[in-house]
Amino acid sequence: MTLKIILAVVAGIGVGLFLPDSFYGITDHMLTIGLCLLLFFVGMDIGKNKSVLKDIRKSGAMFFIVPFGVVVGSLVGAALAGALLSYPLNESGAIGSGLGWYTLSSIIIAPYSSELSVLAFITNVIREIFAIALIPFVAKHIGFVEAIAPSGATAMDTTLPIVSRNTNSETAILSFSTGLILTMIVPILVPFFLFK
Amino acid sequence: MSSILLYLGLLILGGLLSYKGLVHKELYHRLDIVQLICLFALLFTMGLRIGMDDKVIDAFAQIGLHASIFAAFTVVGSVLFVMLFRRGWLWLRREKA
Repeated sequence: MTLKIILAVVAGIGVGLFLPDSFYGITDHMLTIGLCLLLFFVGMDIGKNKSVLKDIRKSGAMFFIVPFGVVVGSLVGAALAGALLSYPLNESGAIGSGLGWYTLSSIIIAPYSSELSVLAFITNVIREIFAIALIPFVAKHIGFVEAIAPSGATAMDTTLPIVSRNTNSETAILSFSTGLILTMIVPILVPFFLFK
Repeated sequence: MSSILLYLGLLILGGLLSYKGLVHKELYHRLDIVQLICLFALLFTMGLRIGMDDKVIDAFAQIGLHASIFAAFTVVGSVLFVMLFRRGWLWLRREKA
């Protein structure tokens, strides 16, 4: 899947190299309409899961603590990296608030700046790769709950099987609910840093 | 601010319609494909914009290095803060008991 996603972007880049500049404005509208449709369908997908409320009750206080820790940790980490690399705080915040959801965060950022959009895309792709590599290590040496943290928003889909295999069923449920909350937060948090 | 409300509103509206069973069966069973089509169209469009921006094309290698640093810091930050908050919560619970 990750490879197909990268290929779609690369194909777009290839075509974009030969398009006239006048087409740039049209892509703004294409992004806005496409994003609205995508979020509507993502919402439908979340609503399909009727056991969401049961999962929430099982997780207890951790249901809020883990996503909150992931958001604060990602933002603090991005702010530190941004300070090191001389990025404005709002741009670092926007990159950090992608929370691993590389497709959506970069698409939301695209109308603001193509350069920042690419940075957000690659950052969050690398975050997913780091997560896949680090989850077993964190689960073994730090703790099961902490093993959810590297995944960010992907904790409910792509990295869920890895969390599940390296922890226990309770943590897997918590991983799903964490991913669910973070998925709902990304579309709010990314524009919050960029658009007034 | 208006874009935040629009995105959140659409996410909630989609969720409610689906939860209440108000989505047509055909669409309900093909949500994965519909999402994939939207996603790939958006990614292609994003690629178009990148390809049309000479500044981005020239800075690709540097962006890769910066992305690795951002990714490492966000992952480490997430693990540290989840650990901190979880331990803080457990400590609070012990104090109360």
